[in-house]
Amino acid sequence: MNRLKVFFPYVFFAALIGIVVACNIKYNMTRPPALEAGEKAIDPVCRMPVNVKWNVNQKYEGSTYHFCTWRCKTLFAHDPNEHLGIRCMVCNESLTLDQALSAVYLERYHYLCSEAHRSEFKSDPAAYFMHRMWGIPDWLYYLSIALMLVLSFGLVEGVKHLRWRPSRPGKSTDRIDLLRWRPLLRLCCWRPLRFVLQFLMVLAFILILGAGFFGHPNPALNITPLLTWTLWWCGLVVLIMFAGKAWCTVCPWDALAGWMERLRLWKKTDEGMGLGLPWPRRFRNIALATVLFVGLTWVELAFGVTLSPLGTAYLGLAMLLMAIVCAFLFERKSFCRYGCLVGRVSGLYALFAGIEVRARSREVCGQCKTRECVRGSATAYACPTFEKPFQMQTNTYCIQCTECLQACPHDNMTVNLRPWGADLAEDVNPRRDEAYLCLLMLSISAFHGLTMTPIWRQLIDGLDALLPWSRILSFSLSMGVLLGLPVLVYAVLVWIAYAVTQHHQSDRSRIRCYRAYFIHYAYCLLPIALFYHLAHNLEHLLMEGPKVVARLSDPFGWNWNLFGTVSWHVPPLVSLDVLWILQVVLVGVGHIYSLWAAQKISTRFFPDHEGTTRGQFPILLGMIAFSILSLWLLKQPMEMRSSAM
Amino acid sequence: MSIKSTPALASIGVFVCLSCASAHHILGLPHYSYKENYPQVPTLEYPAKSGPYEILMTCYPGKPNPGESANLAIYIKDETSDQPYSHPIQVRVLQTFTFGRNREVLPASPVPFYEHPHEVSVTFPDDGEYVVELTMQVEGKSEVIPFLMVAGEPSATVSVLVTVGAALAVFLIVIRAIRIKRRRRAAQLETAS
Repeated sequence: MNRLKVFFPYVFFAALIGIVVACNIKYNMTRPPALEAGEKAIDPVCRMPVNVKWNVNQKYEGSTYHFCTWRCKTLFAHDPNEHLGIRCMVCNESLTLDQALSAVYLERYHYLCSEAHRSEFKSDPAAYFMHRMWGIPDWLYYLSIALMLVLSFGLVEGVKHLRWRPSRPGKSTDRIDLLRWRPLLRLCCWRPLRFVLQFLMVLAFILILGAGFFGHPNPALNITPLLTWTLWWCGLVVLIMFAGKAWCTVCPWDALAGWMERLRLWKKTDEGMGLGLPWPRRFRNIALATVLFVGLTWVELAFGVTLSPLGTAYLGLAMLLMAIVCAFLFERKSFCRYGCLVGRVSGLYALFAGIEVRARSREVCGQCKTRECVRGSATAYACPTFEKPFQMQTNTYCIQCTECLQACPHDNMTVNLRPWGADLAEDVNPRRDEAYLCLLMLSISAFHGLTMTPIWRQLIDGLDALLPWSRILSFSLSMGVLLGLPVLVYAVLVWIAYAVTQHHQSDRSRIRCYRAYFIHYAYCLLPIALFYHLAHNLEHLLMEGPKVVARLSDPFGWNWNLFGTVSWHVPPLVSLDVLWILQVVLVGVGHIYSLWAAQKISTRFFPDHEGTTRGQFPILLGMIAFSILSLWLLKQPMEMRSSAM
Repeated sequence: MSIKSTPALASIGVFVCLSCASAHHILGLPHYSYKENYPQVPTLEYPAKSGPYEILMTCYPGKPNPGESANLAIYIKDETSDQPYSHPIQVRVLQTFTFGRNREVLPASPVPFYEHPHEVSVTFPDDGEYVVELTMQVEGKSEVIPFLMVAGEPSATVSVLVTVGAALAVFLIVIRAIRIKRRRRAAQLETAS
């Protein structure tokens, strides 16, 4: 059973890959299936590129039209003429060639119905290529909600009647020690390994900066936005789930800053070039990283940085400068621990990761007097993020740099495979700053999803019409409200749970205060945020990611064809029907893990099952509401960010 | 110089004068010699093509300063008939910003055909990058042709990168200086003790 829990993430991942491969096994990217005369590989209704192998098509007046799903096919069948011919890019009105006004974008003519619409189109043409991808259908949405309700109340209420009960918090024994395999241990302790991996990432980073600064400004012709926002940012969440903080291991910002500060590529030196100042005590929390993360979201969405190669390059440069300045000013990797927004967000998600770096035996560490993992050895640095690896219980601040593996003279540090969410079950002291970031992750991931739906555009347009100030201000105000709202809802639910438990004498002894309650339960919302984020990002990765194949041959948009793939036609990797099922499964898995985490947290607070249920009930309602919100967001049509690419 | 070569030289001289006169006339500029910086007139010439039309936009001065009135002249010629485009056109000016944002500086304004070429004066309010959008009828359809313009001294990518690099270099030098000072102080303390 323990082995099954450990391997579940990887079985899940393998199943995911298997589905993607099965959907594409017969598709030849270099030579797409020959289209008959009149056949189009673009859905005439939603304008999405489609794989003709999906076999959702219809013949009309001698031509075969292919569709993304039966939804578009039904709409087309209802009135084919509405979707054929020339249509205004802005309002979708059907036009004749005589009355249409034209505008050129990406060397193609596009048509508009009026001068006003043409001006609108010209001011931001990329926005009008956003094809609206259908969200999950109604039947799947309502079925998922029903299943979620049954699961939620069934698990919470049924737990006392089952023989199986959630284990009490404590050290889990379900781990697979990967470094028992000696070649892997030798590889992990080989210092140049990290350098090689970092060097590859630095090359990719230089490509992103170079293309962003000097490449074509059009996001459709430049690899920077696609590589950064679709592959890296979306892929990061997937990576965390299966490889923990692997990104921090190969981070190019840290690599460049570290190489500059130490003037060494991999060998240890005691003589750095920086001042080695201690990080200010006041800021020894993740508040700075949280502010930077909210700031990044604001810049990204308010200014459309995801579609700006130059803006993306400036953001990458800003991160590099922050890393360099902090490396020269402060001791060890203070920036990684306190300031890096990517590191902190991935650190929090890594509580859930299926991998960890830990001490094998607490007894061996207890007898160790030299503590090389904390103080460093002749060949390896002390833990760069000020952790005490010998007693480390969570992944949050570990950057998987392997220094502790190399420093330990007793060969007692190792890399374990473990079940998902193992850190959430650990009885460690939760922190207020981390709890707020957990809640913000929930809000930001939902907000991010919302901004890609048509509802968001309507909301902002409505605010623009109502309020006298600028669009940026309307956006900022809406963002502030929508980020704060889930936190407020959570605070109210926690207050209700706290108030309910105060009426019961038996519960009171272990409940310390409202604040403790607020901080502890925030962690159980993390799986909902994480799995919604994953479901949302999967859409980007599978539907937009394949465009990188063509872009790799011409990353700067300078009409190169380096690998001969410029003309390759790679459609989305899965059909929408498959994507919807995957998304719903992910949200469901996240919800179940949230229930499990809440149960674990409750058992720490309350002595008996009744107390646990009482205290957990308002939080359970919150979890259901947040999961339904996730499903509702997935139900909305999504305006794909790189449709114009 | 022989007397025989005089007519030849005279005809070359006349040709050169006519060419210059024709050049400045065609480009819609005041005579170069009226300007202080004659003969280096900073003029932007921007060619484009749409359907049968050959379009040339010129701007004087080529890189106007903020607040300075710039004279845009647009020459449109039908290549097939060699005739100028005699219909009104529309010109719209947008200021473009880093993250793809735009600000309308001059709303779409009709520019009548007054002799040849179409002319319009534009005042660029700030240092920055602009797009001049020309709207005209091409083969019965309305066509928009964008021309990129720069006013004043906007912060170009290279200059931003150079500034950032210089700031980083200064920062590293300061850090180095502090380390040297620190080491000296430690050495002094060591010798004192």
